[in-house]
Amino acid sequence: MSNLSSMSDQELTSLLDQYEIKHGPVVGSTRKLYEKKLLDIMSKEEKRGNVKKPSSDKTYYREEETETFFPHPAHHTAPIHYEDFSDGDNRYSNAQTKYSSVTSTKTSPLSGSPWKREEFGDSSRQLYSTEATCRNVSQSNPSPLTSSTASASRAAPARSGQEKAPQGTRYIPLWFQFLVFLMFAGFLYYIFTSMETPPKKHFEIKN
Amino acid sequence: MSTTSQKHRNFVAEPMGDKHVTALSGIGEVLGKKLEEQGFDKAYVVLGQFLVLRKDELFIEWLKDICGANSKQASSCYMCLREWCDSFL
Repeated sequence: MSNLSSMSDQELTSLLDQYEIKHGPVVGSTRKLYEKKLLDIMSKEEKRGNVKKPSSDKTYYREEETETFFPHPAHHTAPIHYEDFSDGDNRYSNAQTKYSSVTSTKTSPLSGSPWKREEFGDSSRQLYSTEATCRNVSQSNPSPLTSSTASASRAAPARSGQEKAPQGTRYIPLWFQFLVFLMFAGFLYYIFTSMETPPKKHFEIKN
Repeated sequence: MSTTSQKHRNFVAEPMGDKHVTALSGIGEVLGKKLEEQGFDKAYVVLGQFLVLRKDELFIEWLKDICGANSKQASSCYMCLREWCDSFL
């Protein structure tokens, strides 16, 4: 296999068949071409063999990336939320097996809030990734995961009415997003009220 | 309107018979000479090579290799022969 030019036409033909290359007869004028093609394919296969693992990891998209990116030590304290850590771990380890069955295993640690968050955890799971992603997530990065869930949990009681709490795989902290949202809403409201004033003025003038 | 040249249209319009290799689209004087030196003096000989390669795009590579054609010329010749084959083979 190292020296294609020393092979007979028959051997080249069988090699081409092996690599499933569509080819014609290996004759004088075509031999060189097919040798070149075989060399190309063989070197490509070697490369692919080496690169395969990282490329397969790359299919995990955002979650994986944000997990590694977000080690945020600032949010890491808060012993109050100790329960949430196990909560997060449980959730992610369970997401491996089945999305729907997460609720069943949610027994001991907390009472009220976790069920809410885990539902959104489910939907976010379904939105994002496959099982493999979750598995990888839980295996590789437990600590940023817990820190992100801590930040998410802190945001959730602070804005208890808000329903948009998918799990903390975000670059921008959740409270900040809510702040921006409120500011934007306030701005729109201001515009709205400012639109109203002309009729009011009219009213006054009439009176 | 297709983007084929007049030469292309002339070639695919009729059986090639004994036409010289320079009748092929993409093959001018210089390339024609080089092909002749390699033994491909008639269009049908080049057709033979095209067919032996099973009308594959490998033909383009072969043409580039044998006479130093660039991608555009080789592709043009390939399309020309392919269309001719569709009509007459």
